[in-house]
Amino acid sequence: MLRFFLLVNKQGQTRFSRYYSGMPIQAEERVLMEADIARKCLKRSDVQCSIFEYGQYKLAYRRYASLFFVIGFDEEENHLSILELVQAYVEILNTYFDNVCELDIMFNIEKVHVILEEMVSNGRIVETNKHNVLAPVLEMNKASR
Amino acid sequence: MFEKSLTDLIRGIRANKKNEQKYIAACLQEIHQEIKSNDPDIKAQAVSKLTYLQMIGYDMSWASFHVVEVMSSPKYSQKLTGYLAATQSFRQDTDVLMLTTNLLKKDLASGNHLEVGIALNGLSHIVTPDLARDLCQDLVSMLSHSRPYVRKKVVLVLYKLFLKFPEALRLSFPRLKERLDDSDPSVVCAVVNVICELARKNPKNYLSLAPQLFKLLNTSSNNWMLIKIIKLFGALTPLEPRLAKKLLPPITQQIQTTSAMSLLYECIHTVIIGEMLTSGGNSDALAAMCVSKLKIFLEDPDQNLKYVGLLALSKILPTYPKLVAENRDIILKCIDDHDISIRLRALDLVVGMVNKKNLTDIVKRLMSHLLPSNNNSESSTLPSTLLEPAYRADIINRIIFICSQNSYSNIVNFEWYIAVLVDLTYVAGVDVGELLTTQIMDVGVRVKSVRQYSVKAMQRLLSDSSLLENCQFPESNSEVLYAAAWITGEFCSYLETPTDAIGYFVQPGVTKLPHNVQAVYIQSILKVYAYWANSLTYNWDEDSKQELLRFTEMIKDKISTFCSSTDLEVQERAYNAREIFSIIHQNLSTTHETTFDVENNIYSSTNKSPSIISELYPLFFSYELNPVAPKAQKKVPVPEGLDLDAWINEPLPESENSESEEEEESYGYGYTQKFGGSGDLIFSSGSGTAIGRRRDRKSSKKGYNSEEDEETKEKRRRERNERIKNDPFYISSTGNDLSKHSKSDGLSKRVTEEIDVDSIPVVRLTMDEFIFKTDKKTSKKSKASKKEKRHSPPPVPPVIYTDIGEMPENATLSDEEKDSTKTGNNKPIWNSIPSQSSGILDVDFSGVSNVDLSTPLGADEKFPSMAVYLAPEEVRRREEERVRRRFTERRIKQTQESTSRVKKSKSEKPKSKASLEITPNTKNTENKGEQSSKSKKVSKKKRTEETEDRKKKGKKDKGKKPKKKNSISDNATLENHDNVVVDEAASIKTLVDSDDIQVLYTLSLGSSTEVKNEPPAMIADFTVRNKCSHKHPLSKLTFTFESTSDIQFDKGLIEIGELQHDEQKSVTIEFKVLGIVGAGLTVSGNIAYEIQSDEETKTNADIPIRFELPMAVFMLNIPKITPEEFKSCVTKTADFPFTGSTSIRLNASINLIEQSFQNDVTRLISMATGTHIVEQVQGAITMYGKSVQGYQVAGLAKLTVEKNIMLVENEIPGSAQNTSVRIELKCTDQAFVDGLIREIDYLFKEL
Repeated sequence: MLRFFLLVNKQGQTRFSRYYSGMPIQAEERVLMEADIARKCLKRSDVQCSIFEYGQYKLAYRRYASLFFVIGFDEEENHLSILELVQAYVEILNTYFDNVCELDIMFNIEKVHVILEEMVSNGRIVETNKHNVLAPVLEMNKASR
Repeated sequence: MFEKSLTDLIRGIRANKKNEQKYIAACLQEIHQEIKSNDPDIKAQAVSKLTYLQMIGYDMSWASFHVVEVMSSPKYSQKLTGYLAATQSFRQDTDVLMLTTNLLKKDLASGNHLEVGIALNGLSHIVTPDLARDLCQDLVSMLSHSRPYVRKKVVLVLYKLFLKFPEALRLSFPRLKERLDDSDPSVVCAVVNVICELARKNPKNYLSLAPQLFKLLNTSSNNWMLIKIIKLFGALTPLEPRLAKKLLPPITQQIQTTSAMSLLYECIHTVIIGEMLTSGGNSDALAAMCVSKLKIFLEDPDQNLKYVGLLALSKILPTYPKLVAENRDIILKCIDDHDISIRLRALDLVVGMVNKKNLTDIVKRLMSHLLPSNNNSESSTLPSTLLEPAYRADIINRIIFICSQNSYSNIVNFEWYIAVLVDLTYVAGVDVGELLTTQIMDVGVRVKSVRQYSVKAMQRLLSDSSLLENCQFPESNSEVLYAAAWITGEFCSYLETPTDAIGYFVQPGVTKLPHNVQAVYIQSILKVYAYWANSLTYNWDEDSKQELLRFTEMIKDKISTFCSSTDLEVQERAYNAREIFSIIHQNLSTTHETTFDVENNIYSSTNKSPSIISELYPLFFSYELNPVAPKAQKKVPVPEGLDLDAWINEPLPESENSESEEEEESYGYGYTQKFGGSGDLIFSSGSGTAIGRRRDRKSSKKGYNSEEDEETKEKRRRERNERIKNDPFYISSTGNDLSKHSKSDGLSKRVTEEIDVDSIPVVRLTMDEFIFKTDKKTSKKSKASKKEKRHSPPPVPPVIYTDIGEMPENATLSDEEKDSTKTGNNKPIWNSIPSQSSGILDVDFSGVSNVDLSTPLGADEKFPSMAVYLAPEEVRRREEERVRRRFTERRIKQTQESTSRVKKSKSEKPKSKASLEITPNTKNTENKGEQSSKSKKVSKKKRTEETEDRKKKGKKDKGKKPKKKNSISDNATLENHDNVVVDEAASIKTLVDSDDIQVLYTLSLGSSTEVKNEPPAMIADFTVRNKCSHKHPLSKLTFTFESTSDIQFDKGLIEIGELQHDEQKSVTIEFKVLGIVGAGLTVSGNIAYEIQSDEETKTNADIPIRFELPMAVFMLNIPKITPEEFKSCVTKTADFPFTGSTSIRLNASINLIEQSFQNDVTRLISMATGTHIVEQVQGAITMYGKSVQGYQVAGLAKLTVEKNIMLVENEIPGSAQNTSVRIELKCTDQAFVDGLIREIDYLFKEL
């Protein structure tokens, strides 16, 4: 299953985080872990693969502009499908925000959560169809307006 | 108004980069204030800001209660914020989670699917075992929700629920299974997901689903789902080998055709781990295909594919090493990849691929990773991780592993290996000294042929001053000097110049070495010296003697430096060695003197070496040290006559039948010896005498027994117990301590008890406490089976249990624990769920994997209802109910009194002032009469049109508001409004309106009078009409309703049978409302039917139905009460302990609003609440009603107009923004009044 979903920028600041089965008890611990992950991702060059081991989990990441989309997951998950999920997620964000950028994510964090919630539930990938994901989100926007 | 929004906060943080902490601290201060605000908007905003801060590392656990408040907001966007905050910040132990049960129940039952979605998402994060138990039934019934969106989410939440409340799995699995055939693909996908997860834990349960899954595998084109299904089969096939055969064709096809790499990978992976290669027919061909596909992965420029390709290959390696070996070249190339992750995966493979031929090459490649890379251009691009200690240590471990595996079977040239090990010492850069040391020594001892070379190589190490200099750094690996010294010492015969070697051992700086190394150095000095001195004796002359003398003196001096070592071992050895050297030195010099004295300058004649030198040699080199074969111990023959089961001592002689506990005592003693493992110690010291004494005593035993009565015994025991308390030897687990203890006890006993000292055997003391602590039964029992015991090996001695107190039990426990962890490790990978010490991301699957789904559900297995578990609010509710009952009882009395009083007062004061500060207005009272009659008319007239109108109404803008009927401005909308103002409680509503069928229903009370202490009965009338567009008849039409904890159907199944086109039938169903009558009571069920499109084809349809029970339906149609009665009723506030209130904002223009209020709004309110209007005055009304349970409801609605001058200036004159109706309700039941308020809100929101 997926353990967490992180968006960190090059400076190691967390822009979005979602944990699927608990998280480090202490906030400081969590921040340190997230910064450490960002560092590890930054260290890796383009010629390296985007999957690596981190503690007891595996991390898959993709970098888009200044943002790293990082997913922590268990060994038994299909590694490639995780990478595909990241891609799908970014594509959906891109559609929703019309060329998504870091600021979009910062200022619309609730939406980013909602979209992810449609795609991943309980740490399982449940929906990757762009239309199916966005339809309820748009509906929600209408409802909350 | 001046609060920061989330956007402001984020901007602020960005603007205050330099003093971010300070800024956030200030913001947190504000949030602390805002979150306590009464304004829900401000509160929600504060929570959303807090959620953001939580993400960047601030604590928000203190705000949990406020989060729940926001979660329960009726506003959709606020609810979203609240749930998001909850999912981000709540933990399993967050106490306010207990308060969310009813909130979740309510939200799950919401008519708005988005709200349900939010609640489901939220629940999946925050679910606790308690929540799971309380909500599982609600969720399971939602599996047949009309919206696939909700069904999908319910399925996924259920998985989380199963983890927390495993019993739910058994109960709901049949329902879950049905969803595999859901019409919506995303629901099916969700079910596959959940079953896949479940099957990983316990695949056996899900074998029965194989046919359905197999069908999906063949029909679905959703790659994501296919991956899951294939993964699921991977877990199932090991249990059912026949499945593998069946699966091979579709999987093979997928492997050949799919373009999705992830799916391809999953197929190959499943083929490997699903043991399909071993069970299938043409498995070799399949394996070859897999490997060739994996080759594509490896050759792909995409590093990720390379990575997973290697990962898959490593799994295929154990079964098909040859196939993997075919790709050796590519794999070897990967060892030099830039990416460390790929390298490590490739190394995994390499370890399995090594043979005699390629070993040197591979090791050379690996070694090159360790060498400082500054020579070629490639190295500059190498990531810095290559220098990471962990990586380097890993490489070294692997080198040593591949070389040493299978007893060095791959190594041809051991000299090469020694050279490698020596090189590693220098290039490692990480602390692997211990590993290298054992390797060097092992090879040196095991391989005779390499000894000469190793000794030479070790000389090099010993002479290297850099190792000595850096010995304080573990990376320098100076620990290998241990091996170097030992090998040099042990195999010194290969030394060319032993004196040099000794020189290395005593060179300055050696005292900085680790102590264990120094100890070996000293020992080696002796060995080499002994060898060298002995070699001198073959050619003994005065020169050699002088040389020896000089050299001995030198060593003696040098070794003194070791004598001051802080390490005792080194010190002791150094003194020993120095003493030996001084003896030799003395011996040499004295021989020299005697020879000199006696022979007078004729040295040559005494050409005999001193015996001390030749005697020193055999001390070290009498036997050659040889490696012991692994099975050597087993092969040692058992010496003749050795019987380990036999008694070493003769068993104690049988004593007379008057035998007392002492007999047992002596047994106890014997056992203690055995158990403690130091029996010999006790044996030699005390046991013999003890037996002797026993024999002596036996003659006087009877006397002894009679002398020593129970009292003195007891006294002795007490004394002894006192002593034991302070005896440091008493609580001990080792045999040594045990023996000490019995001895010391023996001594102290003798000292303290002078009477009959001789008659108290040492053994007795141990026994004494045995008797003291265990009951006598044990001893009697053992006495009975005494004979048997003597000839069989003794059972676990009871003495140990009493002696060590509770220790043994704990000890055994811990042993078991160890065992269980061991077995745990043997489980498949997915069972070893990672758990970090800090509990990060910890999930407990144990419950779910233990659930057995193979046995059918028993009748007694039911979903737990809320009754089992009382949430805090449930407790409160019950308490309230109790109080209410008391109130009711009192009220009955009071009403009896008051009615008589009212009658009296009426006659006295006919025009008393109405309560609630409303000036009675007779005109309005007259109006009211008209009003209600009008409304009744309207309701009757409009009933038939209701359905269509409601649809229109739904589409209408929310800005629309009720207006007066004959308002000129907006006639068209008015009509619609009138339709709304229909008696909600008795209206006909649409339940289902599809292409085939239309179902309308009305709800009414089962009784027209008050029924107390009984669940209220309801009647639902359904009208079903066949409106099939193709005019097909419908058959087997059935209504099924599910009884829940709240609602009970006497007969939940109604069969209607056939329905021709346009035919209409009515059915009535009765049910009882068991639950608390409040907001969110819903009835759910299914309508199933078949459409007979022609004679052959039938289509089954199953429509879930669901409707809410409005509160107004529970209200009785009671005769109107007079304002006086109302007043007398309400003034006794104690009768109405529960209140609720709400405000409705009206946007009508000011001149219309009062009329509108008097006509429409008031009517609407009274209808929503099922009350009748008691009195109506300008801008206010009072209402009263009674429910079937006997709850009374009294209400006041007031119109308040606050003219905002600022606005009036800018806008059309006469309009006002702040016009609202304030509704206050008093009731005798909390849930009831809450429900009413909610419905009023809901009704007006709809408009």
